[in-house]
Amino acid sequence: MSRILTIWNILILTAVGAIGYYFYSNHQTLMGENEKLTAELVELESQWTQLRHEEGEIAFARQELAHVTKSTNSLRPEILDLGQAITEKQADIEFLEEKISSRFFQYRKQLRKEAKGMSFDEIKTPQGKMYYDVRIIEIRPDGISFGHGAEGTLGLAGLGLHEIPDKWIERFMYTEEELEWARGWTSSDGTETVHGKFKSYDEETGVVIILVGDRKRSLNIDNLSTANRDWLENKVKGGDAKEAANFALLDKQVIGSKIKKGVLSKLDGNYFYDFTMRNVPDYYVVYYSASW
Amino acid sequence: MKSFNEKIATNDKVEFIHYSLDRTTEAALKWAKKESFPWAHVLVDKHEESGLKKYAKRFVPYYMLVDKDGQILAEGHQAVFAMVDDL
Repeated sequence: MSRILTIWNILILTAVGAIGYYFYSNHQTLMGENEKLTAELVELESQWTQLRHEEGEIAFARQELAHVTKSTNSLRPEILDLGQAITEKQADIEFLEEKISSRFFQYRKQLRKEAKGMSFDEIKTPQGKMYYDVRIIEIRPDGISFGHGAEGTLGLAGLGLHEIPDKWIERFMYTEEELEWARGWTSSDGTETVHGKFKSYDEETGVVIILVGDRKRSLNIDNLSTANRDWLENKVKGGDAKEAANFALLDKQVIGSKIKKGVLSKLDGNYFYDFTMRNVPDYYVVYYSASW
Repeated sequence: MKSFNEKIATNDKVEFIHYSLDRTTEAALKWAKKESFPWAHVLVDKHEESGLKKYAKRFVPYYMLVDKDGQILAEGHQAVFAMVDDL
C-alpha cells in the first residue's frame, strides 16, 4: 500500500513539475516576443517621428511655394513690362544699326565724291607696283581709277579691288564684303591668279565655284595654292572649331604657343600671307638661313 | 627641298619652319619666289615673337630638330633628317 502511495506521489510530483515547466517555458517565449514587440514599437515610434518631421517640412515648403507664387504673380506685370521694354529696345537697336549703316554709306559716297582730284606723291600696290604723282579720278565699288606721272607724261591707270593699297582700302572705306570680290585664287605653281568671290565648294568633286563679275568660274581645289586650300578648309570644313581645338593643344607647347598664329608666313604666288597652323605637330625642324 | 618633300611634307607630326635671317621681307620674298619655298617662314619682323631667336647660331644654314617642349633633339642637316625618319 505504501509503495502504491509512493508511486502515486511520484506521478503527482512529475505532473506538477511538467505543468510548472510548461508555464515557465511559455513565460520565456512570451517574454522574448514581448521584447521583440517592444523593439518594433520603438522603431515604429521613430518612423512616426520622422514622418511627422517630414510632414512639417512639406507643410513649410508648401507655405514657401505659396509665398513665392504670390510674389511671382505680383511680379508678372513687371516681367511683361520688361519683356515689352526689351522688345522695344531691340527694335531701337535694329533701327539704329540700319541708320548707322545708311549713314556709313552716305558718308562714304560723299567721301569718295570729294576724293576726286585728291593727289598722292606715290602709291604702292600689294603687288609692289609703284605709281608717282597720283591724282584720283574715281573711286568705284570695284576699284579706283587715277592719273599719274608729272604733267606731260600723264598716264591713266585703274586698280581692281585686289590691287588697292591697304591705306586706300581704309581711307575710302571698302568693306570686307566688297573685298571678298578681290579674293585671289592662285594656281598651285603660282603662275596664274584670278580674282573673284567665293560661291561654293563641292568636297566630293573638289570643284570650287567663284564669281568673277557676273560670271561663274569653276576651279579645281587640287590646282589651287596652299593658301587657297587652307582658306577653303577653314571656310567649308568647320575650320573654326577645329582651329580652336588645335590652338588649345598648341598653347600647351613651348614652341607651338608662340608661332600658332600671326607669326608665320607662307608664299602664295607673289606674296607672303599670314599662315595659321592647322595641325598640332610634336616636332619642329627649324631651318635658319638667308638668301645671301 | 627634296628632304622636305620626302620626309616632312606628308608627316603631320613634324612642321618645317624657315627662320629667315634676311634683313628685309622683300629679300626673303624674292628668294622664296625664286625657289618656290613651300614651308612656313618666320620673317625678320617676327623674330622676337617666334621664340626661336634664342636657338639661332652665328652661322647659316643651321638645321635644328626641336620637340614641342623646346628641347633640341638634333642639330645639322644629316642628324636632323636622320631623326625625322624615325618620327
